Amino acid sequence: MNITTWLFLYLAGLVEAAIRYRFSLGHDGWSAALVLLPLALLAVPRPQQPSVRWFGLLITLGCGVAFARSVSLDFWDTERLDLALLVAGIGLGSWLTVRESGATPAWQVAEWGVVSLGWLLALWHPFAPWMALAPAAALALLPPSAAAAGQKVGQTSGLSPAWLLFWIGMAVSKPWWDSDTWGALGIALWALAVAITCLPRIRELRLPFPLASLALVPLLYPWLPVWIWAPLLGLLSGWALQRAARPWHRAAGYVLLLGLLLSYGLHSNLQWFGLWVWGRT
Amino acid sequence: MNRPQFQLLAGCLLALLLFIAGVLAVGWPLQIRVAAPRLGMPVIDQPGASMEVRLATSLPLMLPELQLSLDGPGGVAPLELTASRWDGAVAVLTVVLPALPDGAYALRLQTPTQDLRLPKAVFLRSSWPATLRLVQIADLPPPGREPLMRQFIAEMRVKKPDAVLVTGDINYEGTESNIQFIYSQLAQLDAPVIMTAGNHERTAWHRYLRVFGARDQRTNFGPLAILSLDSAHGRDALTPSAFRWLQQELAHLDGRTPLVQLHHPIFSPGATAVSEAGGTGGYLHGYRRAFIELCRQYNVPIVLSGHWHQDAVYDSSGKFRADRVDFPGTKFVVTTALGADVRQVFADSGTNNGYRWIEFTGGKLGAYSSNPRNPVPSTALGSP
Repeated sequence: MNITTWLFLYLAGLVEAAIRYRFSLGHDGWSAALVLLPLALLAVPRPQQPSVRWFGLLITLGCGVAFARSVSLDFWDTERLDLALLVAGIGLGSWLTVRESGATPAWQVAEWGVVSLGWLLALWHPFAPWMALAPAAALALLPPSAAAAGQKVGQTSGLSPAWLLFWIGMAVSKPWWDSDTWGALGIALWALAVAITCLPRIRELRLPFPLASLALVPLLYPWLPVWIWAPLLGLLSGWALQRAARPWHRAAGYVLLLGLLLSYGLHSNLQWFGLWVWGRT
Repeated sequence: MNRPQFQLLAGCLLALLLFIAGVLAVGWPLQIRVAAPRLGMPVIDQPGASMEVRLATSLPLMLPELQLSLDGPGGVAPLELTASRWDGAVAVLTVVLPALPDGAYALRLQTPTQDLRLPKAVFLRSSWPATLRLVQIADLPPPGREPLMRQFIAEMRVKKPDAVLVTGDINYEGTESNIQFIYSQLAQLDAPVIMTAGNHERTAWHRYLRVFGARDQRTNFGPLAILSLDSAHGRDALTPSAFRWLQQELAHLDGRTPLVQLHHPIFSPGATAVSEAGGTGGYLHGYRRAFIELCRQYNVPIVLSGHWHQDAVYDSSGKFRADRVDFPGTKFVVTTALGADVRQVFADSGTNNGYRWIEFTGGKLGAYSSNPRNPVPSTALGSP
């Protein structure tokens, strides 16, 4: 599992679940502190020993299953400390399995496929994205990294990962603000399209930059049905992610979080002009 | 197959196995939860009619062996299953309502590992009176004001309305004891309770979902189609999906008269309105114009709201009106809080009883005043 997989399974799942169950810093007290703890890890160097990563996989699997069983056919009581501890365990364990260097493109297809499957299963169980962290972690433990596979890994220039993640955070979460179903389906289709952009021939395609820029503007607003909007956004995101500068600063994940939260703020509380469906207000 | 390809295949197989093992570990043994019908979103129909039972399952697309029955004062009767399908991850079972006497029934589901009983989920009615009498309440009593709720239930047992509409803010402080108290009180009513969520439900959303769970729903009630919308997800708005759902339901009324309830009022309260909290509270932002146009297009006689803890009535242009039926178009009605002391809502009226009494005769709106003998002039509030 690379950092993007972690961000789009754990972090995006956390924001979605927190908003769905109205997680509150003031109301939920210590539970809130526990749940937010793994976010601090984004700024901390990750240990890379295989034993630590295997330990992380076990923690992820154990906490993920225990949490999902506790809320199976039920709903997340955000005040409960034991549940918050399990959520923190999922975040911490999966973070330990994150690999520092990138995976080869073939493995990226598999990783994004797991992200897609995790969110698709959220139609059945709202916390399936967290359950998908264990399979994603298992994928990270076996494959060779790009460096080990003999591919060139180093400093590359390209699109700013920070701006890219901010934009993705703002855009990809929009169906969440409509309905739980559309939110899960939207991000599942989005991740599937990202996986497709990692396939050999599609990976080489180049969109002219002005065309890509124009395409991004309407896609910031989900005016298309989600099954068209999400894959289109996924294709653009996938191509853009591959052209992002490497390596990423570890804290780049915070801008994704900022994008997700700002998207929520714009759509929920501030009621800014233009963010409702045009012509419907 | 070279080594990297083999590794990739092995990795994918391992991931898939972990996925399957995780799903089984979470959902085994196979269990169900009844999403609908239940208290708050009942089915009200005649014997012989079809009814849908919606079930969430602990394993995706798997349903245990189960027996369904109705259980009530008129007796116990098994439900005949005529069809089943999956709506996403929810199992939808179609059953036929049995020939039992009219009244309130519990829906009972028995599986090898569960015995579920949902009181007041199904109401059998073989005939409908010429005049249907509904009561609407909103903003229910918070902890410390339980006597108001008990008083309301006692009144309803005397007045015997045909249905009680609960327009949100049911669990004011989000506590487990309060929602259980409200549930136990509402379960004492002989009439069906039809509910939608308010903003205070989000304080402890898991409790509301667990106990009531009603969100956007349609309840066919004889000549009426009661459409309950969830406007209170923190956005004071309808979502695109909720608006499309309302459009579709209004386009398929099957000859019924529509009645809409949602927690948020549609129009701005105006400068002279003062709520309990000292502010006027929010009103519908997203989809407001489209919602009003939809009400005009489908001749919706009345839209019921709460949220402000005070009474008000508007016409389609947003002008204040008295709570009478003698003005054209949809009546956009705001109802005061049940969970507050009897209050003087208007300067010239001290008669508010905390709920609305609504009458439909032959599918036409006849009255909706909080005080039918002395309609309250909303104009007392001033200009919006």
